Amino acid sequence: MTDENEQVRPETVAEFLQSFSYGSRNDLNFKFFKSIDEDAAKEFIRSLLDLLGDSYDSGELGPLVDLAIDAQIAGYRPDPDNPGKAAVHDDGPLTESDVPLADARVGLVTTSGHFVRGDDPEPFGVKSMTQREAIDRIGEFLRTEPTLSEIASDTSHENLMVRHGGYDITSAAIDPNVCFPIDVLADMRAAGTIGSVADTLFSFPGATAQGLLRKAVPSWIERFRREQIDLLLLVPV
Amino acid sequence: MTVMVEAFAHRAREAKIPRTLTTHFPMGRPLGAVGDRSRQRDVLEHAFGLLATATAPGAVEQYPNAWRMAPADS
Repeated sequence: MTDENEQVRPETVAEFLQSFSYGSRNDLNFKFFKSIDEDAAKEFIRSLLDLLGDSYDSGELGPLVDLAIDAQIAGYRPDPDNPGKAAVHDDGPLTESDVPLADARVGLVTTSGHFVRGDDPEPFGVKSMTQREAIDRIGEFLRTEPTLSEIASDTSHENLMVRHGGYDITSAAIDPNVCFPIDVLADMRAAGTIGSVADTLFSFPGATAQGLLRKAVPSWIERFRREQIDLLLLVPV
Repeated sequence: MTVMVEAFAHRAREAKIPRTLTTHFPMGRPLGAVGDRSRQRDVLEHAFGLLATATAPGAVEQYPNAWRMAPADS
């Protein structure tokens, strides 16, 4: 029985924005809403509706997508007054190419979370974990060392799986080449743009314990080197 | 030799990867839209082009073309 005097507290704008990041409105395409301030959110919605109205006549959706990408970049940009745990890396070397691209053997490492059917990394011992469960257990992923999956470069789409609790995998599941360019590299090899593609490509879910990842990387590099590549392509999502 | 394709310029600068191409694309689709093989390939060709043009470590270049939906004939 409802108490007529009971007041339902209205949701605040901040709570609304937070709800897109693993909350009641979880949407990994827009989880960055939690990081934008209320005025920016209001301006985003105003601009979104403005551009949507324009699209009725123009049929152009590009400006809508550009608006979302700009908001995404702003949402993920570190606050200069509160940078948090921003990654700090040593300066990297710039190895000059002594092999022409047309002769180079190319390797691939992505953080997209792809793996081969039948070789599921089974995080936390769970067989056939769903994307839904990966999202629900994102906190555990962020405390765990990732498994680096080996993917033969001739793996078919039917046998290429993806799971990652940190980004919207809809596109990656339909066409892996949006972030795991297995067919694009094959096309470039066939066209003679690159010399060859490594027999084994690599992927892991980038939402992981960064400290444990750092410890794992030296052994991973040895696995990359076994592919005898001249060029390593990195694709983080 | 190392080349990275990345959506976020600030992250690319932090990472100090030898050569990075940033793309102004939605998160999770750094190479282009579903089925847009010509755009995906163009992104990689720009990325590999940095092998010839980057002169200092940590080179970050912006891919010049905007996001697009896959052309109907792709």
